[in-house]
Amino acid sequence: MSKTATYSLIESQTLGSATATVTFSSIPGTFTDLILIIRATTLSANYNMRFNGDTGTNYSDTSLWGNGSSAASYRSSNNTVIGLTYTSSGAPISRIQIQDYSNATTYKTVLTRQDDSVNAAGCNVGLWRNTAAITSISIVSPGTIPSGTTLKLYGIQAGNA
Amino acid sequence: MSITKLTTNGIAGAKYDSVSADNYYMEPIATTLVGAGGTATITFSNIPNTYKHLQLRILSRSARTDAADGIALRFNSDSGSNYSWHYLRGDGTSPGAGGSATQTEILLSYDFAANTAGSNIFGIGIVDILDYANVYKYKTVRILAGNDRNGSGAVGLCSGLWMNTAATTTLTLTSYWGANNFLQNSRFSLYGIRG
Repeated sequence: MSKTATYSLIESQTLGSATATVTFSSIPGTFTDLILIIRATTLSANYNMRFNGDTGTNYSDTSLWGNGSSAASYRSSNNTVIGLTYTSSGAPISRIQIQDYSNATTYKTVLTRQDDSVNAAGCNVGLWRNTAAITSISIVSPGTIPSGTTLKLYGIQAGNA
Repeated sequence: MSITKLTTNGIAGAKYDSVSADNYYMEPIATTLVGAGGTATITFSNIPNTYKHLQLRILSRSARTDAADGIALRFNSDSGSNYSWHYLRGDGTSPGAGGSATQTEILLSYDFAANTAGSNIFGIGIVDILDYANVYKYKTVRILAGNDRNGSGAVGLCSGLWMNTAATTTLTLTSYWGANNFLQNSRFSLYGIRG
C-alpha cells in the first residue's frame, strides 16, 4: 500500500478583474482525478465548463437543486458546455470532481456540489462525450466571473493496484 | 483538515499562489482498475486504522442489462440485516427521495452506468466513510454520485448506516441488482483522510 500524500495543488488563480473565461491549460496527466474549487465573490456568479477547447455540442448535464422551500431537477443535452449553475442567483462555491481525467478510453464524467448559503444548494453530473485525456479546463460565463474569484485546481493520485 | 506543510515560491506575478498550502492530509490506500474480464466484487481488506476518515472514489460501468446500476456496500463482510440508507436524486425532470431500513447492504446510489448506456459512458461517485475506525459509533457514509447520458441519467445525494460499532477493516462493493460484473476501465480507489 502506498503512503504517499496526495491532494496536490496544480494551479491557483485569483481574478484581478472580471472576465468571461478562465482557463487551466497544460494539465499534467500524472494524477488519477482532478478537483476544481471555485469561490466566487458575489452570489450572482454563473459559470459553465469546457474541456480541451472543444466548443462543439458534446456536453450534457443533469442537476438537482433545493432552495429552502422546493426541489427541482434540470437537464441539458447536446450543449456546448457543462452547466455548473442553474439558479438565477448563481453558485458562489463549487467543488467539481473530475475522475480518471487522463485516460483515453472513457467519456469524461464530472460531479459538482454547489453551495450558496443565501439562496440554494445543489449538485450536478456532467458528461463530455470525448475519450481524449483532459489537458485543459475552461470556466466560461455567459456574463463575467467577478473580480476576486479564486479557482484552485488540485490533483489526486490513486494508490497501488 | 490539518495543514502540515507550507511552501512559498516568491515569484512575482506567478500564476501559482505566492504562499500555497499543500494539504498533505489525504493518502492513497489502494485502487482497483478493472481489467478486460470484468469482476463482480471489489474488496478492500486489511484497511489500516490510522486515519480519521476514508474516501472511496468510484468510476463505474457494470454489465447489468440496463442503462444504470446501483452499487452496494458492505462492511467487514457482514451480511446481516444491519444496514439502512436514504437518497435524494434528480433525473432531469423531477426530484425524488427514498430509503430503506433493515437491509443487508447499503445502496450507495442507483446512478452508476450500466451496459445499455451509450458507449464509453461511466458513472462516478464520491463516498465518505466517517470515523470508520471508531469502536463506539455506528458507521455512517455519505455519497454524491451520478451519471449523465446526454438526454437521460440522474444525480443524487445518499446516506447509509451500518449498525455496528466495530472498526471498519474491510469494504466490499457489488452490483446492487445481482451478479453483474463491473466492466473494464471501472476504477475503485480508497483513500485515508488524516484528522
